[in-house]
Amino acid sequence: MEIVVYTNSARTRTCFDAIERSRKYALAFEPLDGLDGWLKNGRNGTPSLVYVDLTGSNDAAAVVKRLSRANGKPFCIIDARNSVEDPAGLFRSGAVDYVGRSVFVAGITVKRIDEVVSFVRNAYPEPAPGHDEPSRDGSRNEKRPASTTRFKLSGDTWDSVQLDREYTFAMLFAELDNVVDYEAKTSLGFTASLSEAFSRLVEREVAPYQGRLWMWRDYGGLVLFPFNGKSCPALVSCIRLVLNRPIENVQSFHLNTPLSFRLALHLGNTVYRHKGETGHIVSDSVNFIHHLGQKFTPPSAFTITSEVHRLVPPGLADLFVPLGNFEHRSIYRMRLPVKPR
Amino acid sequence: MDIKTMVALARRVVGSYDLHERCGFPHGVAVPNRDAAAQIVEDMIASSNFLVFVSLLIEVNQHGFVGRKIPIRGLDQIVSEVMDAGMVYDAETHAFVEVSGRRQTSNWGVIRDGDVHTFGFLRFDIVGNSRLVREYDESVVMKAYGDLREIIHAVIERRNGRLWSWEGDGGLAAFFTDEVDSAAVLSGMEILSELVLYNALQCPLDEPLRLRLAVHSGTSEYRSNVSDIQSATIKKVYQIEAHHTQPNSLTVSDTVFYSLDPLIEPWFVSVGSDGDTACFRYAVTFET
Repeated sequence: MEIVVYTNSARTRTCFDAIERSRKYALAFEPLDGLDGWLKNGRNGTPSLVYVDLTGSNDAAAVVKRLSRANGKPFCIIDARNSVEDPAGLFRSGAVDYVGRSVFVAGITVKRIDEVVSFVRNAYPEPAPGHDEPSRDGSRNEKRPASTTRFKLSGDTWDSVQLDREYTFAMLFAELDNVVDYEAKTSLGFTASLSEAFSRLVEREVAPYQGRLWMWRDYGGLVLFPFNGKSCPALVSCIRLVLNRPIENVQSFHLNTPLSFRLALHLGNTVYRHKGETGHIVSDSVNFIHHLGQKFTPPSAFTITSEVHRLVPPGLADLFVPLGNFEHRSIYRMRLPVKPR
Repeated sequence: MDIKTMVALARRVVGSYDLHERCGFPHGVAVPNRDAAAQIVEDMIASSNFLVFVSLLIEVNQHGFVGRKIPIRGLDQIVSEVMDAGMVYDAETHAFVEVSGRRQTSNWGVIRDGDVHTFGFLRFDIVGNSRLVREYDESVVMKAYGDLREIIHAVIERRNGRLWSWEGDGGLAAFFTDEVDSAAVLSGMEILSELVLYNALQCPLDEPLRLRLAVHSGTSEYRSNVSDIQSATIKKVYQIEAHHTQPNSLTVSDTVFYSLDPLIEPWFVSVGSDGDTACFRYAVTFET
């Protein structure tokens, strides 16, 4: 979950020092005049928690009114001077947090954000309207990701997925990391057998979660999972792949040096066709996940986009840390198991 | 195959086998080949030695007998029918064992009471069992322990292991075929991985369920009643778990450690010894 704070006050930034230090959440500060951009252009699916700083605002009531009409987008209010007469009314208008003077002075804690995030996830089970990064003047951001994240749910299983129709899927990019080393030292036949062993491993692990190997080329490919809008079971299969990597190096690959692979997981849209018939598919999401996997995900890493991060079960939240931004999306990576020193 | 060879093979399995007595022929009267073969097969089945006998025939077919090549006609069909019955020939132990995922007997369908073999043992124990039972409703504890049993069973079954005992708060798994050390260790490592996910997603307790695991291998007798087994190897693995294993970790003996694939070794750290056995520990630890 990304925290976005709309404020013109440097003092408000210090209120979030604990959040920044924890690195548990990506944190972004935007000027107040960017709020209109979020209200107008915010799209479904991008996970964020928005704090709006009313401190010093001449027209706090009007701001709150605009927020309350924002089509069900949850928001949080910062009111360092306790200027709002009826804070409870804010919650009836869609607010999920209110930071009055005492909380402001003490500083916002990670625990508080955890509680608000948990509340939002329960209260807004459908993808919450997301945060687009508006430009400084609040106008429509021309650099926003070309693929929208407007969800077209594909369901819990493949039963209702039809050919040639567009759906939202969980998209998993998986690729071997260091096969080029083996290519140089062995043979194409040997490296092809490695790739085949890896694809079999991936297929085996994703199958219990409805995952289907959809594209495979050279040393990696793409797996699709149906998406019901509420959860992302693909996460568990990926975490298991990472946890069991030392075991699979012995069981599946039988090599003298460890083979590593990288994974990247995103929620995106594509027209569905059978495996082998995907050559003419045009999908920004499919392009994006390939770019994320090949250009941004470090070797051995498992990365997820903010859309997926929003759906990480609370028990696994500690496993993911911010990695940075890629093509205007916040990216998180899984903390990896380490060998003893 | 001549009668003399048939009897010699039968005596490899049943040392005192007397074909004439079994067929009811006086000694000195020749037993027809076909009758001899049928009687031997019938007797092997009756004495629960049929699979052992077929294993012997496979060895003879491959390597000959007393210096002679003896191809066994119809052996492929015999082996095929045994496999259809849920058994597979293990070249390492030269024996038929149950196929993992189908039948599941504690002796893999072949080991007899009193037989001594090399086994890999995986001992596991639930940390803080007494406190958990005291502090939580029985139904909650039973649910958690039941889930754990399913996890452990699924993991060891993937490597053709068998759950020899489940004592409620712990148990013992055994591995007989397919590189017993590796099977036991990889199973232990995989159980710890599954525990990470279970505790994060499903555990009904207000705290994570934790295990201590230990692996050791060596010779041991087999008994269908596990509590009757007298085995220094089993005693050792219990000791390693009780005295050298921290919560949520797997400790292995040095004999097991030094047989592991070199890719697995760096994941273990030496943790000292209990006098005559050095131990090595594995745990799932995440980067900070």
